[in-house]
Amino acid sequence: MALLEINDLHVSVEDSEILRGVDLTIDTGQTHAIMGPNGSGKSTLAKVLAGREEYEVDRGSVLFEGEDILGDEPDERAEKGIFLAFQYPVELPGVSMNNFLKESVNKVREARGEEPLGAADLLQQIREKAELVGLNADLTKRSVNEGFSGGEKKRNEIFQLAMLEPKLAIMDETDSGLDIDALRAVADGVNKLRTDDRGFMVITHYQRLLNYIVPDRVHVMIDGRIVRSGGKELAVELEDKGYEWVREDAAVAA
Amino acid sequence: MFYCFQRGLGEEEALKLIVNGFCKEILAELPMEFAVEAKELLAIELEGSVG
Repeated sequence: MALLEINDLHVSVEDSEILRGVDLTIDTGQTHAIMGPNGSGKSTLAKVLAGREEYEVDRGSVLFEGEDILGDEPDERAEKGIFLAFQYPVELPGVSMNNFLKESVNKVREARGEEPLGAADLLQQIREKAELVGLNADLTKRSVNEGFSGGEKKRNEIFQLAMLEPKLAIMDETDSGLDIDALRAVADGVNKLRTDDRGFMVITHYQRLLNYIVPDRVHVMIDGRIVRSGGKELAVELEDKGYEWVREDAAVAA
Repeated sequence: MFYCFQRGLGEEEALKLIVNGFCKEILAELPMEFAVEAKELLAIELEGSVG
């Protein structure tokens, strides 16, 4: 069964239509990249899937493990196993990483029918997962994202992904603002978390991230629609020819 | 708030965490005996205040 199935999804913000009929299916264990120019609707798709309320779904459906999730609250979607790595992670002053993770991990565990983690087990998990994704363990003693560098914030998202063990991870331009070393570190973290029972949707503007996180499928989004899909070689072709090439192609087809 | 929701927290839990965190930053400036009392008051006030 498909992990995620999006059918004819139309979404608007303040009466302006951003997504104009998105169709996309991701099977479990697969990594799909969504590429596209600025303003094409990539990040809107990510936020709609996570349940951000400013976005109005006008038409279409989103099935997660065969169930329509569009009526679910954001926290219910998180509990079902949808994780969004934010493009701009939020700082929570005074909220310790430990406290935040305790609440978050145990909510998700409860939803999966698992016992909550005690303090010692949680600390051990934090240590293990921080090491796995290369997050400086000192950061886990601070307030959430407060005073973190851009790269540390992004790595902290991957760390939380590792802690929450979602079924679907959506990476919203995780590569933006990263230098090449930070990019590789983040990609390494993601690659370690790719498993047969997890799907990834990697949203990016640039092909370079996909040199490190090699996708099974690449989709190109332009003006709120997926206009072309292909294998990983499509990303390379795009880098060579630019988005105008696909745009013209799509115009001819329409 | 959306960040907290996305990590599985409900409205009450998210609000409690954020307000507590915010107050903790302020309470850190106060003498110890006030801080303890204020923290206890805060926990009482927030219970059942949402939803």
